[in-house]
Amino acid sequence: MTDFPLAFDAARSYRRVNVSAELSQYIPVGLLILIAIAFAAGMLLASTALGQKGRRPAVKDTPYECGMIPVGDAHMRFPVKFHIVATLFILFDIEVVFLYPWAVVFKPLLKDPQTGMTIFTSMLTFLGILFVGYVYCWKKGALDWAPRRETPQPPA
Amino acid sequence: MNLSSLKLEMATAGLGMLVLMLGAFTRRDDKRFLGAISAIGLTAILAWSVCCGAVMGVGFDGMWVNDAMALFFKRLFLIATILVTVMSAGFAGKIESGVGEFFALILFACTGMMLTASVNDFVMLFVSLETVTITFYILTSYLRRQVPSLEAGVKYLILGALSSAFLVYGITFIYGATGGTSFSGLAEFLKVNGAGGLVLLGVMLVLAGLGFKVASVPFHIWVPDVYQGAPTPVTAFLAVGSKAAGFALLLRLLYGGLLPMKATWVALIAVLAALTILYGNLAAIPQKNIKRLLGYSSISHAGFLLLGVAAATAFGTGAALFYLFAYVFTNLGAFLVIVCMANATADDEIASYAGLARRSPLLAAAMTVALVSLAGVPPMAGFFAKFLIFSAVIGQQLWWLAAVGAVGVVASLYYYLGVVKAMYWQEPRQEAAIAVGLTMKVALWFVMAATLAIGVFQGPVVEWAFEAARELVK
Amino acid sequence: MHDQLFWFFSIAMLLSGLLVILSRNPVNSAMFLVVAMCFMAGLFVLLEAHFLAIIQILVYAGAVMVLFLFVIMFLDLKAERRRRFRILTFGGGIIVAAAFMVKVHDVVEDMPLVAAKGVAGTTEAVGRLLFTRYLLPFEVASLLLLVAVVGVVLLSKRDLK
Repeated sequence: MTDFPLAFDAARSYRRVNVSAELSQYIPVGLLILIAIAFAAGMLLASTALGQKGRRPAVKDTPYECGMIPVGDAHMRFPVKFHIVATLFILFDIEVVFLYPWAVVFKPLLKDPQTGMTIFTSMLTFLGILFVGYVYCWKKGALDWAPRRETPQPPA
Repeated sequence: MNLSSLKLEMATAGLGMLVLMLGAFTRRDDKRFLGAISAIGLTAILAWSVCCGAVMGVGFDGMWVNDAMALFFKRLFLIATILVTVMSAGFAGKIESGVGEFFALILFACTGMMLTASVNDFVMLFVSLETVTITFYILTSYLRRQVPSLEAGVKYLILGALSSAFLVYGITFIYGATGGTSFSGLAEFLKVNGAGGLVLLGVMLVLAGLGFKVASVPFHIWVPDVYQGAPTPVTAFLAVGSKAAGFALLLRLLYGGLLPMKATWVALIAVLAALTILYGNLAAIPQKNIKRLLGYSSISHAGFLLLGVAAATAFGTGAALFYLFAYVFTNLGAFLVIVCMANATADDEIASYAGLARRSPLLAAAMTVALVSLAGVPPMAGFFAKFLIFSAVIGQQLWWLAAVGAVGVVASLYYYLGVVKAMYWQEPRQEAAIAVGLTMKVALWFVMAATLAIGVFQGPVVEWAFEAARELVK
Repeated sequence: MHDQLFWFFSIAMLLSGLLVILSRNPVNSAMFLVVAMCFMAGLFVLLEAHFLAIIQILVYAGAVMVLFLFVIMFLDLKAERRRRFRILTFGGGIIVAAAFMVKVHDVVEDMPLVAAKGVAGTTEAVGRLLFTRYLLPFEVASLLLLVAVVGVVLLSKRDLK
């Protein structure tokens, strides 16, 4: 494996702890993935093995064998409000991503005289700026699912 | 943590948030007063930067540098943003929804540009550049029910994302080679190891990404379509603000991080400058749409600015800074006229400018001043700017570059004066006079006066630009 | 073990990346992109960038790809039509890409790597860097997110006042 040295060297140079110890943390994750694959494949195999392959009328291929006959295409168009909600979710999700490392280092950095309160005020500013964005979407009705009903005005 | 050198940016961002919130909470239907608030606020910040708000220094582990050059660019951005805000107030009638946010976004873009002027680290470079670019994606597609605006937005988004990808890819190579992200770390690495291999590849990719932002050939493909389709104030802001931000970053990188490989980048930038001047000027000649024409003209001006950078002396850099300053007033003057004309005639064809002198002498005069200055005719600001650039290039014995520049200037006279000819010597399609609002009138007079004044009394601006350049180049 | 995993993750990632652009059905493309991102997270794990690996799965493979799928469903796409094969565009693209790859390979061949000094990818290490050295870019990122929030509402709210 010498013809592609970059990634290995990079990987080795990052290595501080024994690799097998580092990677062994991920053994449960790997096992879970394997079980998931095996389970899915097993279901498919089982249905092929146990199912009656010979008898297969068109009705067997429909999503629901009994009940309503499906009408139209499953690829229908979604209303665009899903898009707003999904994008806003991602944006605030990224905000939360920044909160994770912050929470981990908050205590040690707060005690550190070099940083001190900065660790607190910096996150406060970050959240404050994003709060402006939150207030903005709320006020603009971007978070309302149904159109907002106007309060009826009393007759003048 | 010393925040005092960040005061101007914090004030601008705060003003943006204030305008955003006022726009969301106000009950008034006419949101143009928000434009007045932003213009007044920006003027206050500009005045503050002159009297006492500007704190020099280096901060945040050296990733933030507030020196004379940073301050020069920040004031330039503030001036440009004030003029664009005034222009947007004149344009607001065409914006269907979200007038308040339009002003807020312009302020956020201004904040991003001001941040780029002080960048001294690749992470900061990326974040500040993205703040500018993402704001411009939104602003470009602002007229969301009109196909040209949306098309411009999508094109800008795709090509902009591609260029950002180049930039990030290059930054990773530089990080891999030098083990850090700071410009000074890169300079030290280059001094010890020389330019080559991984770091050279990274630097080239980063320069390609910045080339896209300043619209230099061969990264100019997006310019004509985006300039034509975007709302006019946004086109103006792209042409002056976004381009100047790209140049601020380019100068910071070239002198902050790449000084040890100066010989390499001088050759590279000289070639890019020559290509950009030739392409921009020659492709502008057959244009029929005024915004498209100014798009190509902005490519050619990027070329002239790169000429100043390629001279690679304090004099050349100072000339480029002066050129940018003159270009802001000149170009915004032209765009102010386009906004007024589009309100009256509803299209941006050069043919609609025929006989403009009879319909509105003020607009015709303002357009003439702007175009003549862009072409570099004395006594306008643009003439002295070109004069400085050419003397810097000739001072470095780059004769072939000066020759290419001269070809560009001659070609540009043809298409700029073509518009002037149409305005004064052609029969108008309609005779109806064009009404211009009071704010726009004031802005037009101001820009005309500034273009002339900078050309005639260049002294203070030249001194200011050269002081900034000397501190950068040393 | 490390080396085998590296090859497995990278080859699988490149293959699924290819399938993203080769599939004719956009939903399949999106799914292959999810797979490619998961393998990329595997590479991050090998580099001991644990935080980044988790973020890659949570934000990219999770949230961003859900948005991609939504957008595909808004668009009412049928299977992609075959485009005309343009020899000039295709050939030009291949030449540029090949030249670039050759150059990158040359560079990688003869570059002694200077390793980043003791950077560990744990959440704590990321946090320490982010809130000390890279504090300013972090704050600017909040402005970037604010702009993005405003942009989303502006460009896709149906009846904006």
